[in-house]
Amino acid sequence: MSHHIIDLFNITKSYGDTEVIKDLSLYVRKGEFLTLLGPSGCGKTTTLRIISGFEQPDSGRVLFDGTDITDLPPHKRKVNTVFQKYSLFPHMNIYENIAFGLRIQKMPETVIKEKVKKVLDLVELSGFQKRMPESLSGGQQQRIAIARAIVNEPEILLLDEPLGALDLKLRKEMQVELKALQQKTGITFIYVTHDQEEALTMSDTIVVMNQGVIQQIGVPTDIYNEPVNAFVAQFIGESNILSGVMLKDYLCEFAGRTFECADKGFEKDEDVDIVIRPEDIKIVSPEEGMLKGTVKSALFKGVHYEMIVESDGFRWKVHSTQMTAPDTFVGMNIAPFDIQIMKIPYNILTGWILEDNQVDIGKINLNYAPQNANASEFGDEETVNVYILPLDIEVMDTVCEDDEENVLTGEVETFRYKGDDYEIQVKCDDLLLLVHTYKKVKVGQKVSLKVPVEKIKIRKREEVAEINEENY
Amino acid sequence: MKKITKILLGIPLYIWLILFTVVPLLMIFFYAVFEITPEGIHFTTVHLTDVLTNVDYINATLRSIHYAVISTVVCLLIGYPLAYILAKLPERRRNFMSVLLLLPMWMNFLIRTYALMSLIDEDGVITKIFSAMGFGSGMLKGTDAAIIIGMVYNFLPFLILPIYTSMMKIDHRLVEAAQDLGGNAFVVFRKVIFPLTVPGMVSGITMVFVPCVTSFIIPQLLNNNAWTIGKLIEYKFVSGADAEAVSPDGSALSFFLMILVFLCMSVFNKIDQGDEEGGALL
Repeated sequence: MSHHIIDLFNITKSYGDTEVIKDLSLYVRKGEFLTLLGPSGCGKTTTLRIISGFEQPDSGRVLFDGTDITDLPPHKRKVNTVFQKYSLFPHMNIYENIAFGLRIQKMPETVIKEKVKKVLDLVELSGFQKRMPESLSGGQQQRIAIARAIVNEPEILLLDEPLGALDLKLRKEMQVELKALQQKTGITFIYVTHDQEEALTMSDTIVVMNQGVIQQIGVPTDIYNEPVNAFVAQFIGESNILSGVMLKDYLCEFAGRTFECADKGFEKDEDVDIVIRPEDIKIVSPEEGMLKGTVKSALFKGVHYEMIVESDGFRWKVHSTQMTAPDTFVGMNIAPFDIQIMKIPYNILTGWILEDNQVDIGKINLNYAPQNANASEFGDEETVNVYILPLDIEVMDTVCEDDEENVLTGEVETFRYKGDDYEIQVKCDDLLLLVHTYKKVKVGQKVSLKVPVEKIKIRKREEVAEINEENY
Repeated sequence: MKKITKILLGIPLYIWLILFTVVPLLMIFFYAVFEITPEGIHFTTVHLTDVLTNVDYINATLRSIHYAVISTVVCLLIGYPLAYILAKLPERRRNFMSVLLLLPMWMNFLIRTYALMSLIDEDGVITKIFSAMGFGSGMLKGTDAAIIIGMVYNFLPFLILPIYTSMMKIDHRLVEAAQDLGGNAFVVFRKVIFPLTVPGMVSGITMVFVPCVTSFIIPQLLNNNAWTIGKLIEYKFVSGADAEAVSPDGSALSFFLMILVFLCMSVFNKIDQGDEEGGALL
């Protein structure tokens, strides 16, 4: 399991001005089921297409079994893809579709016949040789697409949201079948999906991506139980996310009181994000509860009820098999090990070093304080990563149109109350900045953001790759 | 209630079809097989058998088919690669090029042919180019080549457009799937792009072949010595010494031509359908 079949080193890819993959490094072990998971536009499909060879990275290397294949065209790579919309050849019957790759390898017809029959048995569509693709249902077409790919015995099977077009019931069945197929054949699967449940069900390893950056890599249980940041927590399952302070080891403060928790190793009074899963909150009587609030709504979700409990202005999402009627005053308890403490994620921007301690981040040039003692730490026009903490960005009282030092102006895209302060996303042209603020703003409102000179961190790209490796 | 509405809405179409398709067809058939004499109307197969036995008529028919086949093949040889190149261009250039391709078609067919006439005259540019390339000397006008040039020039866009449309309709993911399965550029073309453009090719071929077979103005203007079936019909109805508005010979020829066209089209359609069962054209 330890053998790397795919290594991606420092991959970047832009379409026009939009950077879809930012300095991505990743490896895939032979025989594993790895899932690239993220919202649409996070770069997961592009990553897959770089592995299959349909896209060329702007920079970075792709290694297959230790050999550099970055410049190898798709038809020479030992990988096969199952496409999102199946992409069966409409003018060929099922036999010809599956035989396509084998014919290119110039196999004798008897061997082809045997292999097609075997693979059709494997996907449980025996006897479909003569049928045309259009006469098959979506689920059957999907199986043929899988058969057409695995009949070539690829080292790696790439799957680009292969179940996206199927209905829920069929999708669940196919998830189980795909996993079984992967175990039976031993082929390395690289699977792309935006469906977190699908990823959790099937994968050995999940890679969570957002805006072209890997957020977390881990086994499904770790990703679910110990998300590293608010994005992962929110994307994988449902969660309550609040701003908090880590007072000392095993003690944190949020929602106006202190809680015991199971985490340690933070700085004293470090600002953190707190994640609490809705199913981990117990509804009790008001006297017993650590927190008190009023039930605002209760919705039956099939297995459990989802209640919204408002406490001190924060709306808690609570899951329980028992319903508490709206307007009931209740208490809520949270066990220490159910409180997830997360470091606040940096805004990571791509920058180009200019003279005089300035870095060009596309929209404006930022002044930054020297990072190390030695002055000439970066080369001229060197591409670097710029890190800014959401807490460090100041939302200014007025919108300033002038080119003031380190001030960006943009529109508020999202707005979320986190129990103590607000988390907003501000879009400044192509840049999307995460900002924590006490100021109440509206979505769509124009705001100016000031980035303090001394709070900007700049790292060379190679160092980042090392950080990624450590995180694995 | 709904059914009645549907029928009512169809009435203009039915009137159109009856007035301009059914009635003329019946009239052609009628004049071809009935003779109107002062004594009355009586059935005759003289004109039809004449069409099938008169050596001049048969030669004209064969010549028409000959011109049409060559023109269609030349159109295909030029048009298919052009359609392929066009489909591969980036969108803006592609739109611009399609406009350029269609631009001549907005001009009157007759004017275009007249213009071509002067180009293949003794001092015409095309004549000079042909001479320079070593293809004979003297003017092209009045030769078989003139007719082929005229037909290719006039009908080429009708072949390019359907092929281009069928190429544009090919899902790019099919090309990627073929590459993914190990196909190089040649395999992708032979096994995916070409078979998927066969329907477009068939309709393109039909749209060139049929007007080529029936054309009379191109032979008349560019090579008046060559008798084609289209010219023959025109001669019988309009310009001949014994031309008449109601010509039994002309009607019989028209009727025969229609059957010829119909036969050709059904052959093309057979090829198209045969291909679906496994590449009959290859």
